[in-house]
Amino acid sequence: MAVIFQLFIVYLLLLLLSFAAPALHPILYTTLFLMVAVYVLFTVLVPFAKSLLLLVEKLPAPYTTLLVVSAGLYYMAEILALQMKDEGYGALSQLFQTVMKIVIITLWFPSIKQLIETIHSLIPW
Amino acid sequence: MQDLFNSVIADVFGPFFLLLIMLLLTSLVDFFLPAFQKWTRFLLLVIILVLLLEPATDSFRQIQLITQSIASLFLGMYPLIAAMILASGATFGVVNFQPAMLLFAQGAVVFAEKFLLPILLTALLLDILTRLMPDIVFTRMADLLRTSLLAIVSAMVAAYSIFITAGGALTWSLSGALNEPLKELIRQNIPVIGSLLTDTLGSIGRYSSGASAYIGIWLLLSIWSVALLPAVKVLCIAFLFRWTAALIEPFSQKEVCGLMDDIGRTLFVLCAITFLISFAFIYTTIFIVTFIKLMTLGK
Repeated sequence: MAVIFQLFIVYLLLLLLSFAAPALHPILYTTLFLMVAVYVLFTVLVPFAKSLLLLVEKLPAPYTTLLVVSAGLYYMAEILALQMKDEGYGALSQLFQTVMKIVIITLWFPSIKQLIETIHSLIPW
Repeated sequence: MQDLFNSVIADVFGPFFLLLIMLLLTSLVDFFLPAFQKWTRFLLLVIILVLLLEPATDSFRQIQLITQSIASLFLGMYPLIAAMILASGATFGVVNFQPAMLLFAQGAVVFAEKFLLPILLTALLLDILTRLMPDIVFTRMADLLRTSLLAIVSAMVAAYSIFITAGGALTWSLSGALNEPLKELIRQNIPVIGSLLTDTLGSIGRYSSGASAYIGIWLLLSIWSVALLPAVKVLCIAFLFRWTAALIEPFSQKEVCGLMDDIGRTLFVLCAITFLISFAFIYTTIFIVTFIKLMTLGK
């Protein structure tokens, strides 16, 4: 609950800064954003993912972990890319997203390989 | 014994329960990250195919193994049986067996192995492709393959019933008015192949009723259960797929539920093919047992 107020206060602070020092605003915004993002990641997102995984702890396969981790990675990439786009670096954000997608797919490679092998064993000739 | 039973249950049911929990988790993830929805759909399909294709392919592999062993058994036995037929001569008048029938039954096994099973596997592959790439649809093709397979199998069963005309009136406690309600029950409740199943069982029953005069009813029952066990197992797995599809339909993606349904339908057709093979097994076994019994009685 405290995190919501903290985020709102950061937002107000940024609004004030944009009036007080417009020239410094981009660099201050980026720094503050990164700090807040890391803070939120470690106080909210990681514990939440951990408790979600704890719920389905009994399942034997690695699939639940894979799914939650890839969703988290996707979310972080999305947020950071949005920040880059805010600063006007659209091409860089696109690149960032593509790389993150490749990372997620790489995480899933063993499962996809297993799937291809299963289907291959089905082919009757 | 308990552990063995538990492990069997876990092996068969485990993937299906896993699927249910995975669906719950993916719907949670979808709720938090709507942008991730396309990904979860694909990843879920990958998980399902990895987890649940295993029981299906296992039953396919098992049936292939059984057909191969029965075909090789026949190839090994045939010269011996032919020699026995030549040597016995008059005994055959009593048994009223047609040797051509044996050839037909084993031909059906070879046909199933070389032709029917590959076609069924192709239908399964087409279904999987359709679900993985919803833009390129092979549903009708897969359905066509399945229905034509069923037609072939029922034609072969009809040919069996034409062959078996002799000696139907002998004692067979399960036949007659007593099992009519049972037949009706099976016909109503097993989706794709119900009537085919009862017809097959009827012709097997008619055939073995002729033989039950010569071999004991318990031996007959044991032959029946050994031969029909694979078919019953495939039927149970097919039902498991259909039940899971029905269970997850309200809250899962359309592809997932449709894929489960398609795999279930394919397994029902596999069950029909298995019946052909079981019939060949029953025929050969009863033939040999009766023959040996009559030969030893004659001495």
